[in-house]
Amino acid sequence: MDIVIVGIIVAGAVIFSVRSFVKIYKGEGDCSCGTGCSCSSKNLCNSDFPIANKKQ
Amino acid sequence: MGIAIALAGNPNSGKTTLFNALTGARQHVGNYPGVTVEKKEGKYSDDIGEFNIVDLPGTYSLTAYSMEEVVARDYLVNEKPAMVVDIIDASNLERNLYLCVQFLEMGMPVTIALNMMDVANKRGIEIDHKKLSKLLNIPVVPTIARKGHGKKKLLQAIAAKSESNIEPLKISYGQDIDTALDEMEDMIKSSGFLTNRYNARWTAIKYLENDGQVKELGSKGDKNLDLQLETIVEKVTKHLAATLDTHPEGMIADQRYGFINSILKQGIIKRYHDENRLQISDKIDKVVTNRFLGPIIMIAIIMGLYKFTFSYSEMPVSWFESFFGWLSGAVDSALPEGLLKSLIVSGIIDGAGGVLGFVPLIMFMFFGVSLLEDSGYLARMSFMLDRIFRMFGLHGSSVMAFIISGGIAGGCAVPGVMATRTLKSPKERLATLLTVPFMNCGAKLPVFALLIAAFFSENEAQMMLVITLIAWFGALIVARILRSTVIKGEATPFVMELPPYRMPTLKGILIHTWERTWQYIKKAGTVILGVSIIIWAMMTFPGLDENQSKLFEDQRAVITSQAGYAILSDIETLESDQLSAQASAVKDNLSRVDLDEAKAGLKNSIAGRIGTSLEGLTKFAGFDWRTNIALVGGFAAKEVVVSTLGTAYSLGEVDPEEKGSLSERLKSAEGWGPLTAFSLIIFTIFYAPCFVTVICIAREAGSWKWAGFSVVFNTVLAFGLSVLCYQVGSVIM
Amino acid sequence: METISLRQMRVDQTGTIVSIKAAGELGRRIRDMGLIPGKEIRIQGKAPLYDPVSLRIMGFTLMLRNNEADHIQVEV
Repeated sequence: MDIVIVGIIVAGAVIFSVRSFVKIYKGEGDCSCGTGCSCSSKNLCNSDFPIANKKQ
Repeated sequence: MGIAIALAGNPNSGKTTLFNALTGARQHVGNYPGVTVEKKEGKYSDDIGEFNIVDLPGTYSLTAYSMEEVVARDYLVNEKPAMVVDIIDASNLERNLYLCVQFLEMGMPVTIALNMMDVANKRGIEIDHKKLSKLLNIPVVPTIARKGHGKKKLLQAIAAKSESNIEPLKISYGQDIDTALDEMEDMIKSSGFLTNRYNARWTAIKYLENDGQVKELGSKGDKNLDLQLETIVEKVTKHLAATLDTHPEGMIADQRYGFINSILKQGIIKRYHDENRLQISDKIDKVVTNRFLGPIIMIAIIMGLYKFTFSYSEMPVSWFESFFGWLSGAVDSALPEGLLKSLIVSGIIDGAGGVLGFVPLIMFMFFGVSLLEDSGYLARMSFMLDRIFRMFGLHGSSVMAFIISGGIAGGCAVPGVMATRTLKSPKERLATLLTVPFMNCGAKLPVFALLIAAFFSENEAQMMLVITLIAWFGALIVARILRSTVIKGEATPFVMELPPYRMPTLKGILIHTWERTWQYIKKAGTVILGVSIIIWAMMTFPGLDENQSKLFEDQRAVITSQAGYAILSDIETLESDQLSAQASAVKDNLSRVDLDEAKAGLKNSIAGRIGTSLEGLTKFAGFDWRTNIALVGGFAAKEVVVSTLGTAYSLGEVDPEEKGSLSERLKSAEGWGPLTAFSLIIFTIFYAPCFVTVICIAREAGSWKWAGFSVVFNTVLAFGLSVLCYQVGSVIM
Repeated sequence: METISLRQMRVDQTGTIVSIKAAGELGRRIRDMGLIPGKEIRIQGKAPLYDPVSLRIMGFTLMLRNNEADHIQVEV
């Protein structure tokens, strides 16, 4: 019984973590820097100005 | 569909404050130029109408030189909002109108929000806004965004005006340029050159201003006409150089100011004082940025903040610790022995709970940082540090990015990476981008707080200051190395407005503090919790196999068989202080076996094996396998270092009732001492940025190459420095 | 009345901008911030290493580096 509950909890944690990291990777996750950033990550990490696109 | 309106204006004129007042959003507002680096969207609706509001980055002008300006300009051209609301700092009308005139020249429908009227009045400035509106032929609405005054009137003005068509403003730039402009305008109009995007005269002006973006579009569009236009520009340029010793670009700017001046001269502004009279702000600056006092005050402020944080958070942190101690004790007695109990006590309470324990400390730190941010002091730090930063190949604006990332402990590298957008030069920006992760963000703070509490509790604030200085010097030196090897390039100009000091409102600071603290709590309760559970599982499974378990079982059997029944039942029934000497010894022996079994199980787990396999390398830095796992987990988020150590030392324990806080356990744990702690602090400062930051670096640098670089380079650097510290330290101590 | 470059001005000295020699991005930046001929300025202070310099113009405070100040001629 013990092992089943623990298994469910761990599986849940794995799914949750993987999902949130995938979200961050896609740039749509919760802001997880934990501090004063504007937490609408949708445009938090969007690339209006990547350096590579800017001419020297 | 609502009316699309764009908020534009100079940096630090209160755009975001107005945006928040209108949309009810709580976007971050700070008292330094360039807080908003990307555009943000929001909605407002009531009986006046429905509005879709976009907050554009603040700009002084609409050139193609800087990214914010290009973003703002492209937005206006591509999205054609029904109204541009130009937020103008009333105490600074003349310079703010310079941008407004450029909107009008583009042919944009503009409404002026004359903001910070209260500040202007205090400074003895009175503005006849009705007359200004008449002369410019656009609505002008006085507002005080901080208090939400005037926002209804502003929206009414927008709703009333947003449908009518607008003729672009024509300014005379002197005869030479005007003639050339007329000629160019005709050519552009007749050939329909870029007219789907820009108004013809505006294109012509941009050619004369040598605007890179428009010229590039032009040369791609119509080669022939582009050449013809260039010829005219060249002719005018030569003529102006010969006759007036100037160039079209300068001339156009000067004439724009001339136009503004001619309007303001008609009795728009009434001043009761000399405009350059010393304000209170300037008097403060005389002291605070003084050549000798300035740097001392800067260090004193940071030191004061740390002192404040550590001394006032001590009590609440210990309450949190005892709460979690009580909680794990309660769970321990309520649940039967087994995996579930281990998960809850060691994984969740000692793991994620350990991170939550530092909430009061984080909160005090955020309070101080918010106070500094809102006051306007941070811009003075840029002022004082620019020269030093330039020596290391960075820029005065890098200072801001450093501080946001945690230059004063407790920021975050993600917005810090974003803040590098205020840097105009791509090379200086890249160098800043790659060095901001060295700052001590709010996630590293609990790691430092833990180690400081355990090993440097005599001088907490001093130690934090030392950590801060190490991070800054390290970042500067790395920047210097990068700038003289992989990202070589010239220094770029630095012209920045120093915003006046503002008395921060308590409400504003409390909101900032709470939002940041809440973010920290939320993160601890979600991502950190998830990772803690995974790490607990990695530290628990596969556990010992039968042969090994049998070994410990046999040991126990030996002890119990020797002890005899009477003693065993005593151990079962009596309190420990009532036991005979013999019984105590048996009990101790038994718990030593339990402890050895727990340790062996931990070491045999997946995490234990990974950590042990790294030990061969990390022993030179003084890290054992537990620390290794913590540091690997820290890549997900730096708080995980604390939660993993919490779980590791909790699993190795047998009697949860005897344990203290994690810092107390570390103090008595073998292999730990001030030197190991210091080595770990150094490693934590410099090693790979967390996952989110790496993603952001990749996005902002425009390539995964730089993100990969920052992971590998930083980790190698951190390891090298920790080994150096540990080895040198071992020799000395 | 004499014309000197902004770099040579002392703290608390006032003057009127005569000309700006910089073209291109730098010239543009200087002008965008309101530093244009005819404006009166007062040097407010210098950073610990004498660079950058902060000045008051049109009722606000601006800072720029000595390298930029070289391009600005001021009548004092």
